[in-house]
Amino acid sequence: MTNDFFLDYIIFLFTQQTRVTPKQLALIASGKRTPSNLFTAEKNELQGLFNSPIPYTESEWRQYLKRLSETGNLIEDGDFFLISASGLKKKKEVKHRYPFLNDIPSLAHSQTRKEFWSWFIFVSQIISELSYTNSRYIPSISDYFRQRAIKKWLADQVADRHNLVGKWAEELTVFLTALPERYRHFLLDQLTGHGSEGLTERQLCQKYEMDPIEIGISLNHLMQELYEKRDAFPLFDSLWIEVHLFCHEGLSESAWKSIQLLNRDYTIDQVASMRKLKENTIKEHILENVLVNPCNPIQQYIPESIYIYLKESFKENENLTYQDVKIQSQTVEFFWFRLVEIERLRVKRCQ
Amino acid sequence: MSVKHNEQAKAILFEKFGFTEYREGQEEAIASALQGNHSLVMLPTGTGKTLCYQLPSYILEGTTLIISPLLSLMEDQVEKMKSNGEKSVVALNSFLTYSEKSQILKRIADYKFVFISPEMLQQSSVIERLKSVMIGLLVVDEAHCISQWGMDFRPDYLKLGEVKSRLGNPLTMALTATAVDKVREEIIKVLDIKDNLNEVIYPVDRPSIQLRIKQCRNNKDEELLSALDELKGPGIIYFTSKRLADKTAELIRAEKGIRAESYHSDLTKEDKRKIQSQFLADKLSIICATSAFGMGIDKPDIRFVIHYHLPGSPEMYLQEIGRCSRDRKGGVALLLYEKGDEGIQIRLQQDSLPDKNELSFAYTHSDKLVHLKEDSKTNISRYFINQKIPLEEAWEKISDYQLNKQYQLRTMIEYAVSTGCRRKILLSYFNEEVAVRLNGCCSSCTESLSLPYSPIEPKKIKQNYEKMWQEKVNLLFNL
Repeated sequence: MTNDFFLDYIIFLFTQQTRVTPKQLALIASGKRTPSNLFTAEKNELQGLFNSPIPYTESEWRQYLKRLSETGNLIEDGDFFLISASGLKKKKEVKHRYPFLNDIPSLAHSQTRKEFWSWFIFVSQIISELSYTNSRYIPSISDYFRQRAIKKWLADQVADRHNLVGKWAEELTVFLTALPERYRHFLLDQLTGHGSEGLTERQLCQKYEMDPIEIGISLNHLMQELYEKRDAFPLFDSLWIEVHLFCHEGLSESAWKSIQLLNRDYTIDQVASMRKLKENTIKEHILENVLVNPCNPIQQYIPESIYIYLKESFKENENLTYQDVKIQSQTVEFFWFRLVEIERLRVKRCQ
Repeated sequence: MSVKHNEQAKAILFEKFGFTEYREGQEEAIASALQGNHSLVMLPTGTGKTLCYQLPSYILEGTTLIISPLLSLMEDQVEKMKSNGEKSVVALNSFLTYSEKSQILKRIADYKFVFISPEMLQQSSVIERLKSVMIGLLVVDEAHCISQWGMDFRPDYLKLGEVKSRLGNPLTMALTATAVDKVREEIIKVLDIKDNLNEVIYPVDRPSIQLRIKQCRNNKDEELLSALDELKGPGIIYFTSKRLADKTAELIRAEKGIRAESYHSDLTKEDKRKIQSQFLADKLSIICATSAFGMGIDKPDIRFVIHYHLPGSPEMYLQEIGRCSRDRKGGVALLLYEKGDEGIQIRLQQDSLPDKNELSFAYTHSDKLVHLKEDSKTNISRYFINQKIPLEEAWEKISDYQLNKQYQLRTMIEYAVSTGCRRKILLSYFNEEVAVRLNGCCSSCTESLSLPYSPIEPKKIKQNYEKMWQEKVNLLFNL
């Protein structure tokens, strides 16, 4: 059963833009935040796989991909795999079978989705115990800093405090109503609160006939669903914003610190000197930020003449490589080249 | 204890802990601290040692610093205190990131209770910060770890005497449940609390727990399942292997339809907490656990503790069986013994201590120890090297420790195979005599033992029914 789900899930992940090796898949799933890994995820439209609960090694991925290529759903091209026409057809069936599997278009919230569910469980517990006026319970999150952040969020809900229980329950009900029956129970069974301890992973696996990976993947997409509908849930949305901030807005802590300084108009060399880091590291932080948060403009980091030159060069040659550019001009940094390449990728996708 | 302190303590006992009476030993321990005396408190498991230091802390000025050996236990203790309304409590341990630790250290003096791991106390930045805090009471929990004769060889525990001195020798309370004379002597020596010391020592025996042995012949699973038919009620089954704990929980669910879960270090923190909560709320009947489960679990009506494998020492065995019958309404400790079981313990001992060649290698190549994985052998070798103890002396100490471990194991084998009174064997190890015999005492004293409690049918898996999802929401939020 679970293998079937995972094979289906791989088909779901692949788009016509996806052409990857098993190693790249393993790296993307591991959530490694190097610019090249983030770029591979973006280029192959695998944002949903990034930092996901799939612990497979390169060889395990290869085995699964080979099985899918044997059934004709994927095509093997050297070490690369891409989706076939019958794979695309199958993808439609998969989407129909698992309606909660949604497209995840950005890398920004991969950590937030994981963290949010844990905060959600804790806030539900606090509100549940509050509704029974019980203050003596063991919190589901024991980490001091998370507890403090959640307390702060609760304290900020001044306007809704008089009816926090009602509003939280109402938003939860509306959210669950839109889900298939099985997933309503699936989420509720994980909540803890007054008289409810929540099911462990093993108990969930047994009850829903899933394996831990399917549980993780399902939660990942259910949280994305909640994020996409957040406008309808003011309380959940406000919690999401808090969690996202806690997760450094999708960046590594170091990159986030650099970006805060850059946003305050410090230059790259100034930030490098303030943070006692190399300039190249700050540039990697910028690339991370641009890849994780698609809305960030790139032009401010590239000299205007170089920007125009690179854009023109890409117009002339779609498959332009950095090596090609280097032959023409020794002064173009890879950092600038990659930024323009990312922008071009995104513009092309929107066309 | 002065009249004023006595009244204050009684009031706090009721207001903060909800009790009107002390359990045996508690009042003496509290009085000792309030009179400004160091104390060594040995109370049997399940008699409320925690209260011995928490209560006087509310009367004494300053922060109470509690040195606790297990990270998971520390977290449980902190959360339990918080859930009981004590918010001025924090844990300093290796779970924290550097910045989290820094922030906590900055505010450390604001906390009434600070739990800390012995490893953390080896960091000079931590000690320096703690030196500026007024420590009203220093508590050493599970103090038998201080002694090389105790259950576990914890190098960082051995350095606590030095730490205490650097902290200005604050008022100290050492707590343990099971320590033989030699261990108690060493605790006093290492902590340097001989002067001005009160020893509050109570017998380790728990007469309400019936001691049973089942001799097995390659049929442990059958014997276990048949025991479960009789014992019923909430219970714990201990294993030395995580895999076997998982497998047996599965077996119990499949064969008996009883709600059973395994509990060990591979579980996530969240799942551990859920299993504990389910067990405390009587939604789980049986926990198949490794030694990771039990410390800090305060469930008064655990009716039985079964050992699937032979424990390595009488101390460990008494700690684990002491988790049943905390309400004194009767419990059963059953050991499933099969000839040769001791082999597991012998292997565990061999794996945890360096042999002479390994120790010599470590002394010769001490610079390479940093590259080795953090295991018991490396830690012990590193401890002796850092303490500048000569190789021969270090080896002598390890050999003595090994001999002691062998003696502990021999006592357990004798307990398992002897035809004499089992309680007498256990107690004589602690230089104690059997004072009371209840519930038939043990499987040697009474041929056919009857249950010392009224059995309650365990929770069956099929009794569960699925509520409507909306009903679940309403129940959760009291709508």
